[in-house]
Amino acid sequence: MYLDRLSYELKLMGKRVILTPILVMLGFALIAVFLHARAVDPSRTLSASLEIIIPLAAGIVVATITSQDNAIELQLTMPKKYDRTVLRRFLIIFGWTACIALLSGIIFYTLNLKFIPLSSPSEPVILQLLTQVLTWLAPMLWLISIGICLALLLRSRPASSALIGGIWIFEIIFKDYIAATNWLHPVFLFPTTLIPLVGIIPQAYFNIWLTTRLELIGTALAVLCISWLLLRNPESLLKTASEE
Amino acid sequence: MNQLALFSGIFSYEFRMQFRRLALWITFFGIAALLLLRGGFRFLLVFALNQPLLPLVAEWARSLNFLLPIAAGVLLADRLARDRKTRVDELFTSAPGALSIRLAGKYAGSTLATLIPIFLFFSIGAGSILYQTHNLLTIPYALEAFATIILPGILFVSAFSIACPFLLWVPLYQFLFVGYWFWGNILNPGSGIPTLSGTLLTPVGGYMASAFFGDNDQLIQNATITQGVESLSLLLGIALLVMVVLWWLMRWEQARQ
Amino acid sequence: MNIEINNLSKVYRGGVQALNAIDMTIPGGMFGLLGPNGAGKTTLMRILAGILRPTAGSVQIGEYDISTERGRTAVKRMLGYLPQDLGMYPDLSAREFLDYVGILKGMDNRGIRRQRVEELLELVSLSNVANRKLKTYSGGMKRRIGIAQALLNDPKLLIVDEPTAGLDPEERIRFRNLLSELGGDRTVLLSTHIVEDIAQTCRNLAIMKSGKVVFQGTTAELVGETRGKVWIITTQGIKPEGNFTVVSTLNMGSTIQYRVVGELSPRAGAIPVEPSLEDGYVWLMREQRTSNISLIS
Repeated sequence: MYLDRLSYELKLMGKRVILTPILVMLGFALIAVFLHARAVDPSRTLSASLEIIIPLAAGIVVATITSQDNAIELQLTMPKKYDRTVLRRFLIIFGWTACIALLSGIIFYTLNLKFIPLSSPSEPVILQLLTQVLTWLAPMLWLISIGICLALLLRSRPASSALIGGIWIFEIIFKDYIAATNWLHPVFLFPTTLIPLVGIIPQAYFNIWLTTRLELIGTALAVLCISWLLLRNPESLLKTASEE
Repeated sequence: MNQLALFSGIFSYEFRMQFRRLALWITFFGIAALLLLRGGFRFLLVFALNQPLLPLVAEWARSLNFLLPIAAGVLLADRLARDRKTRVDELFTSAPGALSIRLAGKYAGSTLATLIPIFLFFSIGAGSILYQTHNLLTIPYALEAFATIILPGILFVSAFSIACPFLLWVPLYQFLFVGYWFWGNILNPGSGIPTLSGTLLTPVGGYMASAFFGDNDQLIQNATITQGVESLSLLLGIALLVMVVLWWLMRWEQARQ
Repeated sequence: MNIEINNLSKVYRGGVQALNAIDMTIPGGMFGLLGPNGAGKTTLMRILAGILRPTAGSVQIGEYDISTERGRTAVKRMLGYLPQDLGMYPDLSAREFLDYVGILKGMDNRGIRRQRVEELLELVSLSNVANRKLKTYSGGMKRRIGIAQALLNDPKLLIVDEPTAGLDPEERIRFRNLLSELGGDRTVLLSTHIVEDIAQTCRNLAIMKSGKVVFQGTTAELVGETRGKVWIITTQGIKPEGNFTVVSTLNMGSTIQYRVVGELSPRAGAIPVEPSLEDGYVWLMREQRTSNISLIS
């Protein structure tokens, strides 16, 4: 039954969930080949694909799917609770996107195209891979959580997508301001690629980087809790943005 | 049927549909809040007295133009899809009146409605400058900055946002648009990736700001008047071309059915 | 299974009062719910289906109190619900959609569930197109799938809102009969604007207006109240004047026949006729409007 349900949830969300991360990575693979042909190191660009682009895509996909459920009224009459259905969809999107990102990261690492901070030159491979995972896992989880929360609050696909896009651009343009402002560190999305914090860096900087990644994950989980509470209000779920 | 009456009817409908969207105001307020977070107004208040007025007004327009068009582009992307979803496209297709007039009305109405929150935020900043400098020239400079820096970019973005979802799934377009905005306006040309940043085709309005107002940034400096006019004309011309292509595609599709 | 509704009210955010202190008893079998748009029928049905929480009052469905989470979950397990605006997932086929809904309804055994899906596809005559995606379905076909999904778990409580909308006359009759058969040993709450559907299937009904119940009883009682108030007036073409509502107009060529409901003084060309349920509904709405006017004046 679990497999049946999984396959139906995937199908009703559409091929976009499966294809989006694959197409993003393929696109960036092509860009990397192009850069390599021009003798430009593609490591930072590939890091951007994992840390910056895939999380944006995942956030918009999640916001799109969460803000408009065609059969919401029917779902709310089912004994299987709707908040668990949404959580399941979130896990599917997050899990699949994370798998693609993980596989891509391993390939980049194997090809010596890594773009990660290291606290020491002799860091074990497994720790390096975990560091790489953290570079994209934290912003991905954060943007997906924000995507769900905005979609549930606003019940509007364009509004949630626009705000995610605005936050994304803001994080890119004002990266230095965010890096210099302590209270914004728990929402600092892309330090690895944008600052950049790569190669052997002082332990203190590495600790700051690690702390911001963990804070970002913590913030994401807090936002998910808010989303869970919003899912338990059926009246607001039924309200579609009719002016859309 | 009187074409002007048809245009004004559609314009009025599209304007009201877009203007009344809660999503429009929430989104623009949200993005404006991000700008405030960065200290947008604080910047103006601290430096207003110490900078020449003309480039200061242009800098304010340009800084809004980095973020607000994202909201405009994303929020306009579902206008055509909305007609299909609410089934009014069948109604419009069966009603008398040229397709071109319908598209012109849709484009003008929804774009103008989207411009209003942008104009409001711009006016708040311009008002702050006026208050600081006590210089009444701020008003005509601000109107000129809005018309030459912000407006062409929004018209450019609106045309693509209304037209492209005719062929693309709306969320896909929205994702690509946000990515394009970074790639085409913010990405450093020195990164090795070909980009439109710093070219005449950037809708952020860098060339107009530099050429007409003397406001230079990292990528565009000391642009000539000719370059400013070229950039403005290109943006408007491409916007028009995109709408014409959309009209042609819709006519072709209708003829096929 | 009876449904007891006591002093039920629902006020939406913004102060819109959808239900105003409703008292109602819905016995087992077929029960019709009539009323104009905005009467509160959909709100009532959503509360019974556990989608909305009431602002005040209580609802007891069989042995379950739906003010508790446990009660609502228990009701949902035995509920079949067909909303007026039935949204579906366009990329699923009909078979997949029904199977998916079956999973959501707690039908965990794959074999039994899929067998049930096939039975219902056969029942709604969609077996031969069951593998087509729902986005290719016409409105009537979607309606039939909607009925099928409502019956998946063999519900004891069936709430259907406009179930025959979009169906052709033969299909409508078929589903009316199906609902009637189902009403034998369960509670079926049927909300519709098609009075004939209620006339043909329901012994009991309630009529709502502006969030209140203005009539509850049997269809025979409502028809009985209208006896002596329904007339056929034949004219040469001029619309007759008087204190009545024209229910239908039939152009016979040289004359026009008007079926009217109201208090009529004896006049030439006016023949009293046996009232139908629709006449009863029109008469009741007239009376409601008259009493509102007299309250205001």
